[in-house]
Amino acid sequence: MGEMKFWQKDEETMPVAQRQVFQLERLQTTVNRAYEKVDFYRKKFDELKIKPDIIGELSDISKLPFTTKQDLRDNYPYGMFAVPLRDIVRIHSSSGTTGKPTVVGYTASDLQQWNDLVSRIMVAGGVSREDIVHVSFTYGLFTGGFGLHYGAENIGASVIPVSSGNTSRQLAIMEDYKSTVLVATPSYALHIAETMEKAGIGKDKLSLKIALLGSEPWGDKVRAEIEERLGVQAFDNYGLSELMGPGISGECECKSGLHINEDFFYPEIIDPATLQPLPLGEKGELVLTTLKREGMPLIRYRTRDITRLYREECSCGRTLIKMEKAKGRTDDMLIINGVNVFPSQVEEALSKVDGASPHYMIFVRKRGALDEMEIKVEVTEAIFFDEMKKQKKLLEDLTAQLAKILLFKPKVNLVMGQTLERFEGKAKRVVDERNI
Amino acid sequence: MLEVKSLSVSYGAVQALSNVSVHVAPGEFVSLIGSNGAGKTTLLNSIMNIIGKSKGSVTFDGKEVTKLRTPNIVGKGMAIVPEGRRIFSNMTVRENLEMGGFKRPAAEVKTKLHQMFELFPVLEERQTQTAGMLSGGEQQMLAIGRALMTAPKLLLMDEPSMGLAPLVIKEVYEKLKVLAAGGLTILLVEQNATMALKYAQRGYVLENGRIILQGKASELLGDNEVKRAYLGKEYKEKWER
Repeated sequence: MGEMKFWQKDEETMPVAQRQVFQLERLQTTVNRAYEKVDFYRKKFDELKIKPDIIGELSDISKLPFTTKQDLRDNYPYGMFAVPLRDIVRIHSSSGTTGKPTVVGYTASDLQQWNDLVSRIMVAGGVSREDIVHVSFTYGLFTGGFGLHYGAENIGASVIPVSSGNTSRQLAIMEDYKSTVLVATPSYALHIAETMEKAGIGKDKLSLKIALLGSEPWGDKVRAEIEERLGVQAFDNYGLSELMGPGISGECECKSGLHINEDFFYPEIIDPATLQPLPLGEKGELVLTTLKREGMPLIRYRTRDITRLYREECSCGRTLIKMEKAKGRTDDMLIINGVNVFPSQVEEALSKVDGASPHYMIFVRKRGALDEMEIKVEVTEAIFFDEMKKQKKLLEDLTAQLAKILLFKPKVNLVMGQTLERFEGKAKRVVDERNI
Repeated sequence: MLEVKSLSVSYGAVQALSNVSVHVAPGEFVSLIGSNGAGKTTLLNSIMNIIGKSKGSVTFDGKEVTKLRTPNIVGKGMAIVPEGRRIFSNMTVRENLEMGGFKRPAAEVKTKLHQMFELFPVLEERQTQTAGMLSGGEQQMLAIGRALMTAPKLLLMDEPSMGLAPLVIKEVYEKLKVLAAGGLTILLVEQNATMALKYAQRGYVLENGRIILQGKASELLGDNEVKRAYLGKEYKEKWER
C-alpha cells in the first residue's frame, strides 16, 4: 500500500482564490447562525447595531466583535450552543479552576469534521493506516487525547490509548506493541528519552518513526534533540479546546510552519494592544473564527497566542496558509508540562490557606526534560523560626490546596516575610527560566 | 461557473434575501433547500435578473452578469426551468420546444429537437398533442426540454418535484442525473430536501432569506437540523414531552 500524502486532497490543495469563495460563504453562514441561534451573539450584535449582512467580503470580518474565554465562562455551561442539547453528542470542558470552566459541545457532524481535520494533520506528518499510534495525552475532559485518538482511527491506523503517566509501562508498551507513532507533549517525549537511557534501552529497540507533539511551546533545538534521541521525525501541531481541540494547524514534512485548516478556521492576526488587524506577515495575537462549526460557532475568538501568518508555495503541495510555532502569550498564562496555569490560580490557593501571605513568586525551570514549577510564599517570622510543626502543616496545606487547583503538585517553599521583591504598579511574579 | 456573492433582494420593505452567497463549480450538481417562503424562487429569479437586486453580484463563467438583461443572460448559457413549469398549454409539445430555441438558427433548432426527443422519448410520442394534455411529469420533462433548447451550460431548476407523485419525481431526477453526467451544471432549489440532496454533490439550506447551513449533500442529509426541518422527522425526546 502506497503512502498517503493528503487526507482530503481537494480541500488541502485548493487554489487560494477558490477557497476564499468557500470561506466567505461559510463565514456568512456562521454569522447568520450565531445571530439567529445564540443569544450572546444576538445581544452583542444588537448592542453594536450591526447585522449579519455586514459581511459582504472576507475583510469585513474586522467589523465583528471579538469573543473571549471570559465570554465562554459568562455563558456557562450551554449558553454558547447554537443547537438544542439533543443534537450535541460530545461535551469537553476546561478544568475550570479559575472561575467557571469553559464548556464546548460537538454535534455529530462537528465530530466527523474534527476527526477529518486531525487526520489531515497526522497524514501531513506521514502517518498512514499502517501505523501503530501510541497516544500518551491524557484522556478525559481535555481534548488532546480524544482528538488525536479518533483522528488516527479515522485514518485506519491502530491506536493504543495509553493516556498519561507511568513512563516505564509506556516504554514497555512501545517496545512490545511496536508503536510507530508517538503522540505526546514535547517535554514528555524528552522525558521518555531520558527514562529510556536510564533504563539502558537503546532507541533501536523501539519502532518509533514519527512523533506528533503539541500543547506546549517548543523550539527547533528541542525538536533536534527529540529526533536524535528517539530516532523519529517530530512534528508540531496546534489546537485550542475552545475552538475544537487539536486539528487547527499542523506541520507537514517541510517543518517550516504549521498549515492552518483555514477552510474551517479563518485566521487573523491582531495587535493585542489596539485590537486592530495587522497586515499578513506581521507578528501579533492569533484570532480564529470557526467556519463550519455547527454546535458552537465562535466569532473572532482571541487565542492569546502570539504568532505570525504567511503564505508561501509549500513543496508538500498544500495551499493552506501557515503560522509560525506559537510562542508567547498576550495574557499571563503559563504552560507547565502541557497544563495551563494562571498566576491567579496560585493566588486563589493562597487565599484559601490560613497563615500564608499573599506575597509569592513563581519560578519555572527545566528539571531534566520536564518543567518544574516552584512557588515561594512568604510566611511570618514566628512561623518561620519558631513553630516547626506549624510550618510543616502550612507547607502541607499549601501544597495540597495548590495541587487541587492546578491539577498537579508544584514544589512549594516557604520564605521569611519581607524577603520577596515588592513591586510598584504591575507585579512581576513569574520568573520563567526555561529556554525555549 | 456561477458565483453569487452577498446578494440581497427586497420587495418594498420586506427583505426576501439577505446576503446570500452560493457558488456552483463546472459540472457540479448543487441543491438549495428551504421551506415555503424561504426565498428560493427569489434567488433564481434574481440570478436571471427577472427581478432586481438591492445588493450583491453574480458572476457567470468568469464574467459579471449582475446587471445583464434576462435574454442576454440566457445568451451567455444560463437557462431556468421555472416553478410550476409554465409551459404554453395551448401549443403543441413540438411548438413548445421550438419556442425554447426561437432565437437560434433553424438548423440548430432541428438538431436540438432531435436530441430532446432522444432524451425524452415521451415528448416525441406526444409531439403533436397540446401541452396542456400532458401529465404533470411529462410537462416537467417538456419544461426541462424547452430550457435545454438554448444549449445552456448551467440549468437553474425551480421546484422540479412540485405537485408530482413520488415515482414521477424520481423519473425527473433520474433525467437530471443523466444530464449532469453529460456535463450539464445544475443549480436546483427545492422543498423536497431528500430528493434534492440525494442527487446533489453539495447543498445549502436557506431559512428566512439567509443561508444557515451548507456542506456536502451527504452531510446535510444526515444533519439533525435538516432532518427536523425538512425531512419531516420532528420528534420530541421523552424528557422534552
